Amino acid sequence: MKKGICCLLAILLSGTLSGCQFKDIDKRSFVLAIGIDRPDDPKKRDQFEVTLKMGIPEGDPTKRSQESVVITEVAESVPEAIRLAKSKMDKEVDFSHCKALIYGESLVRNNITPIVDWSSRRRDIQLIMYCAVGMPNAKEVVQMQTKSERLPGNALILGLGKEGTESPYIKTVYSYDLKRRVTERGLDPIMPIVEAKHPDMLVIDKLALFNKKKMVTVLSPEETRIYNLLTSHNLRSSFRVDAEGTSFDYNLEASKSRYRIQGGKDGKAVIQYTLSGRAVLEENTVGTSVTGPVMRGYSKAAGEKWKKDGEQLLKKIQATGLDPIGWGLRYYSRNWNNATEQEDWKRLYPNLEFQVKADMEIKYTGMIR
Amino acid sequence: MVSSKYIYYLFLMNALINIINFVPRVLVFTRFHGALPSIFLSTFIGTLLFFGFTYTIKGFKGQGLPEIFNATLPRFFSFLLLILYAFFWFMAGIITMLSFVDITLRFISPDISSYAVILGFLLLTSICCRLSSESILYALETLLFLVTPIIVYMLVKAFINPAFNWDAVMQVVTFMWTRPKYVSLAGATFIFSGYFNLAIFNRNFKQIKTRHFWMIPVVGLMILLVTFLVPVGYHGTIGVEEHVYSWFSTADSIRMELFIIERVLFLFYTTYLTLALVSTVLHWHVGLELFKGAFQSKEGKKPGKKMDWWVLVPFSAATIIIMNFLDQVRLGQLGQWFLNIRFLNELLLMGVMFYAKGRSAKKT
Repeated sequence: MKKGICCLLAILLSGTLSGCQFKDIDKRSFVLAIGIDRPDDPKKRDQFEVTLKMGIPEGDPTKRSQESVVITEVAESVPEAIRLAKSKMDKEVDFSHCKALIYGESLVRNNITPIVDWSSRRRDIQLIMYCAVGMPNAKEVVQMQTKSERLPGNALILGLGKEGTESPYIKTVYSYDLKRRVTERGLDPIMPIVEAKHPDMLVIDKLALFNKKKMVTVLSPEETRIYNLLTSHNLRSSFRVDAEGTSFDYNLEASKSRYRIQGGKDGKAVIQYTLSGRAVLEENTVGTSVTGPVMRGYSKAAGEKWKKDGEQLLKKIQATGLDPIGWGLRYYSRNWNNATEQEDWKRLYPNLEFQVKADMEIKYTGMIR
Repeated sequence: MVSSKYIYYLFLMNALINIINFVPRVLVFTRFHGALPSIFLSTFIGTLLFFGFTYTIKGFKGQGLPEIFNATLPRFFSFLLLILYAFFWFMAGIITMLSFVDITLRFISPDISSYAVILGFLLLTSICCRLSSESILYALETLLFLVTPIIVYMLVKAFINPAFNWDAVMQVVTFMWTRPKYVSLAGATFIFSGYFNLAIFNRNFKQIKTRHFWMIPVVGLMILLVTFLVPVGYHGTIGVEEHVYSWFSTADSIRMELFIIERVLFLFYTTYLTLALVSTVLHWHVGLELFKGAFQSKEGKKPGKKMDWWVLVPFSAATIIIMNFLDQVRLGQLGQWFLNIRFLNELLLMGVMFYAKGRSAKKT
């Protein structure tokens, strides 16, 4: 009896050996970045131009022989374009290592929803994929082969993430974050902008603000840095202050940002930001020796600069009518009158006031006084 | 004979496996209409049921549900009830299994045939659930010790991520004062129903001592809140509803930057695969023993070991047939129906247990 069962099991299990349809790694090409545009052809304006940057597995990853394969295809939808691209490849196109999705400028000015839906619906595309806007179009960004790139697509991936460079001008946006911002009440999508600069450079220093569907405004590099300061902890950055009589650079060692929404009962609300930071002096342009009082004066000047820049940026964001930081969600989450809070916020938003309290301390003068 | 800490393992097992058994699904669906009050209410009810069941079964030392029922109830009723509960426990295992087949196809490989996956699961559970109750309890302990640290690690990772949106969580919390719904209540009490497995495992307990009983409501409430609120923190108050397996999507949203693999998803999958299989084995073991218990003679003579396959093979076949009929939506509905009926069933069992206790007290 027992032997019979064992034999039966062995026979059954052998059936599953071939059933897996597993393709070997040398028969796959891994998509590392996708770029999606609207085609330039005016007749095809409502179609999609999909660019896939693929890496082919090779023996030695340390050599720079890793050429990438780029395929571009135009079709009525993204899946269609990918099916067409598949017939151009001899290998199985594998999306499970795709780390960057670039939305072309032509697309973000139109509508991003179908792509957001597609990328989060597909099971093999990660939710921790980076999303960004490509300028002048996604194709050029994805195609770009920078000098420093050792592995296909790696320049883009390292640039957008925080493992490689840690620029204060880059805001990392993951696919799941984009997806939640598209649906959330009181929180709007954002994406960093990647610009392809010829001959071989990728510049990421701006931030695109979206309403739920398309891009509305672009923040300049300076504004992007302040935005990052306002929305993250421990920003790695230096700042320059050019006040009367003083002119210096300092390097931020630690920073913190908090905000709370005050009021709201009488139709007026104030958003109070509290920034605090600890810094070390990096350059003193005036050249005089930095004594204690001078250092405290510098701290004050730096704080005032933050206050000015911060309030300016917040007003700019308010003027666009968008909510990239999630003030609306904060308001809803702190109010228990769930039936009316959205109406209330809609009324409050245009008249919001902003106060930035900057508590900046330059603690060290560096190696010299 | 095992010590009474194993009750807590049984509890923890069910509490951890809730993610697979569609508990987050119903909580997320009702997040604006009573999920949170249901959670608090169910903590209360669940603890009460837990206490009530352990209290009543304490009186029947070394006896499982079949022995208790056969001794105190009319033969016809005890037969009917045992068959009913056997079906019920098998169903619990089937839902965990089917849900995991679906997850495997979705996240690991859509190319593999679902029959191959379910066949593997069925073989494993069928063979393992015939082991002795004691071996299963020991296996449960070992695997929980292996798996719990990984789950805690992933949770810590989830909470310290700056992208975790506490505002979204707070926004859901503001829907506290809504009327609880039966469906979400039935879902949330699932966490506590691990004690239910004592129905068979009581045979192996020396005596049931419930020390540190306060841990049950505290741990249960915490697990429920985490189950419900972490996906909200990652996918937003509105977006969370769009994810079919909200916890797997959440695991996919967490990164391990400096590990061999970057996606937490795969770690999460393997961890929960272990848990799901152990839970299925546990449930099928209880189901099998109850089934055999229904055919037990008054003197306690059990049907032979060979009869196991006459129960397991039909249930395995039924699993495959059910899987054929299901799509993603129907599977979710089936899971919900199971949760709904399970809650009523638990209350019924509670009533029967109290009746049985009364009867046996009168006899002696």
